[in-house]
Amino acid sequence: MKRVFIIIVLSIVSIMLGLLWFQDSNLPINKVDDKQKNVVLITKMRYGDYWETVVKGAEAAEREFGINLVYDAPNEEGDIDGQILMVDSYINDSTDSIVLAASDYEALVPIVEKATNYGIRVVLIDSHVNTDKYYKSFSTDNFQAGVQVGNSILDLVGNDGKIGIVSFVKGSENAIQREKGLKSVMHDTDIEIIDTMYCMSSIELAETLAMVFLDKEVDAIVGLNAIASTGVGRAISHNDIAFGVGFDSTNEEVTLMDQGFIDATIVQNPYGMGYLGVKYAVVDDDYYTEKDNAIDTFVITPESMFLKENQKLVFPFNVD
Amino acid sequence: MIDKLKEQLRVSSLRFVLSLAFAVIAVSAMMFVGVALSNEFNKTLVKNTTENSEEILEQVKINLDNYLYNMIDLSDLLTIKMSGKTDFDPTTLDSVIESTIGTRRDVITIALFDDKGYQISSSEDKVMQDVSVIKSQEWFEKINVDKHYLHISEPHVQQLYVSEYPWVLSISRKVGYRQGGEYREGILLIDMNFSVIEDLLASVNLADHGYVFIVDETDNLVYHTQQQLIYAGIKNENLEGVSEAYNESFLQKDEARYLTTKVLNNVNWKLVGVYFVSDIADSQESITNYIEIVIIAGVFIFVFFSFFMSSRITQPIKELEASMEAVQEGNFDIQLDIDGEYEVVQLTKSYNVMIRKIRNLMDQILIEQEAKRKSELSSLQAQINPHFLYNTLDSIVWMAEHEKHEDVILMTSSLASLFRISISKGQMIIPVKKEIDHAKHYLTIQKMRYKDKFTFKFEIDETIYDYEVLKLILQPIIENSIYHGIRHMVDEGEITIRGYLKEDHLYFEVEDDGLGMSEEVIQNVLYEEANEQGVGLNNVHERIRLMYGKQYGLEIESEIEEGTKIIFKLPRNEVSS
Repeated sequence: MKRVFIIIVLSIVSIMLGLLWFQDSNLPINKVDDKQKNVVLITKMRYGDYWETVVKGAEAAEREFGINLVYDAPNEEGDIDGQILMVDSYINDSTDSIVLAASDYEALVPIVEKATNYGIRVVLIDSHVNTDKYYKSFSTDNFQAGVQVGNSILDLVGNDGKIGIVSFVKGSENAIQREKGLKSVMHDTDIEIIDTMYCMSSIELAETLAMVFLDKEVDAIVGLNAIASTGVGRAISHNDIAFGVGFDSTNEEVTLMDQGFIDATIVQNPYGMGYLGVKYAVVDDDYYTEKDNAIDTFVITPESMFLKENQKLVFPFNVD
Repeated sequence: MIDKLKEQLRVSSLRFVLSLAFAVIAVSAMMFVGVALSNEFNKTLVKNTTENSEEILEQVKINLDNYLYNMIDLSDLLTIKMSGKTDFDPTTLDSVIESTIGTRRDVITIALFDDKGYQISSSEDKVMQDVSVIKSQEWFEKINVDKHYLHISEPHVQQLYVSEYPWVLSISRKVGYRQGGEYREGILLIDMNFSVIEDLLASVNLADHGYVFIVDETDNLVYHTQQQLIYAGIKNENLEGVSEAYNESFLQKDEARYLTTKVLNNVNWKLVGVYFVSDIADSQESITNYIEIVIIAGVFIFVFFSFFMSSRITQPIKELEASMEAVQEGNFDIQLDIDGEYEVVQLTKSYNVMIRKIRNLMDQILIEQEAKRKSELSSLQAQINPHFLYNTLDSIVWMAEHEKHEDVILMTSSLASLFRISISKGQMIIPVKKEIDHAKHYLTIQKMRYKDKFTFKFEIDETIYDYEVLKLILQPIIENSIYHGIRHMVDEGEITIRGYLKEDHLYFEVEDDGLGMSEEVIQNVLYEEANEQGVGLNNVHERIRLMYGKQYGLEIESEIEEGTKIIFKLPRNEVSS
């Protein structure tokens, strides 16, 4: 009888211990059920308002969907090889998805295909890559943005005039599409595009090029990205004889616009792209069922820039 | 091993029934408790999540209220400072402003404007925007045009200084001051860094994926953690039911989420917290999983435990059963250990008493049987003597009449030796040597009686002398050989006696070359009772079997005109000294 008693006591103690053990291992009740997905976000460049906003959007999705997000990017835009190496370094078993803003339309093809073949879900944001081996893409419809630029010029200049274009890098797919969209609007008008010049991602060069256009007495100058637009705005601030139309809304661009030196800007939605890229890195089709999705761009003028509905687009976050 | 398992699983066994009963009771009890707990947990979980969210939101509300209250307080302080009877000196205000800005991270700008929009005093020494820009702003218009006493703006991008566009919450109010002896009215602006509030709101974590937003009295979004996405049309916020809810929680069925609203004190806004049913369901699922695991573990433990318990209970019974089996096989020497539970002890005691009684009875029966056997044996043995003695004495008389003195002496001494061995101090078992001697004396006497009608010889393996044997078994058989085999022969007969060991048994043979016996006669001599001619084979056969058991006894091989051989099969028993 004594032995039985001891065994009963031992059993009860072991059951208690077992329960405690289970309880311990289950304490963070909300976290144990689903495995946290590892998502890597790689942009074209680490710095700059545009990419920082992309990251903000990505972080919003990270919070919302309980993802483990890793952000990486080359220090300079155009470091294609660096970006390829970077993507390659994340192709391993612990990565579930890669959200990529590809630096080059062709050069990134093999590495994107490699990642997809490895079983990693690749979501492209901002720019396309010349392959179909990716899950989804979210990017600015650059042709449509070009059309918006064209319509803004028609509003400002009318059906007749001369314009100059300051582009960024020759061969950039985004730039080519924007220019095409712009030209498609100009096609039926008497507006003459006198030249397209490349600023090589330098504000100073863009300013100089814009000055050249001003000397040629153009009616409007178009900057095809944030850097080109800033240069255009600076040039016009020295000699306000033409309209400036640009892309994006950096602090300097906003200032130039507030002062009337930039008359329209096409605001993309980097926050939305970062958000959607990371969201669909882990979420399956729901609202965006298409493979390729265009993220709307908005035309902002000095009159509309402070409207409540535009403020968050033009000034995506607080600059302390 | 498998047999053992089979035995344990035998459906009708007490142990199995007990195990099953224990297990079923334990499992159903655990199930009941588990389901009850799980239901209760789930109910409490929804309640707790709601309460928790309300609590968190209440904290946020208090923070926001305090925050705004402090700002209004600050504006009150500044207003009082300015409304002196003497002329307003902007520099005194400047010093207050400077110290405030220096100590408070959340205040970006404090500035005083006259009713035309010109700046009178400011915390910052920066390039102002154009007066027209200032005048057109909401915080200015609400006071100057709409004549509000105090206005708290929505979060907005401030356009006060050139090239600076901070997100702020603006508090503007009408202030009175004297300048050049004249009473004037101006507008005091305090800009609060919205990122402080934004950080507060963004860090709110309601049940994993929940978030907060703020609406004004007309249900316009004042602030949302994902405002960009909403304005860009990437996301929608369903405000259904928000306008009717004041400081309460409700379920938005379509969105499968709960909303909790809190009305702020100082401004006509509503703080709304959103948390998802799926998050609660996740927790419910993990609680259910947890309970399931506990139940499964519990069931395993209890099943094991019940097996153990039932075998503990049934063990003594099984022992009892095993010893009963031994009794069935005839072993009555077992006494069970008296140990264990009270009932089993009692049962064991009774059983032991019963076994003891049975054993005593058996012993008694054995003793009685033995006595009966002994009396039978002695009665059989007693049959030998008279016939032979009578015949032999007849012969002695006859020899004496014919004056054959030598023969009389030999026969009489042989007869004496014969009887000495026959009596053997009353023992039934004698050494083989003596039995052989007995046969020799008998043959000697008979040979004389039958006037050399036969010869005899002994072929005895001397090693068998050390064994013992039931006495007076050879003599009746030899007698049989003489009477049935030799006596009626025309020629001289021969009797051979053999003794040897074979296959661990002791054998004797008595062989004659006489007339032989027909099957009928064999049957007769085997079963005939002792008659006047001798005690008969039957007597010897019966005695051997009574003494040693049914596997021993006599065997007869006989052929007419050839002779008879009678074989004794006996156990090999050494002489006990």
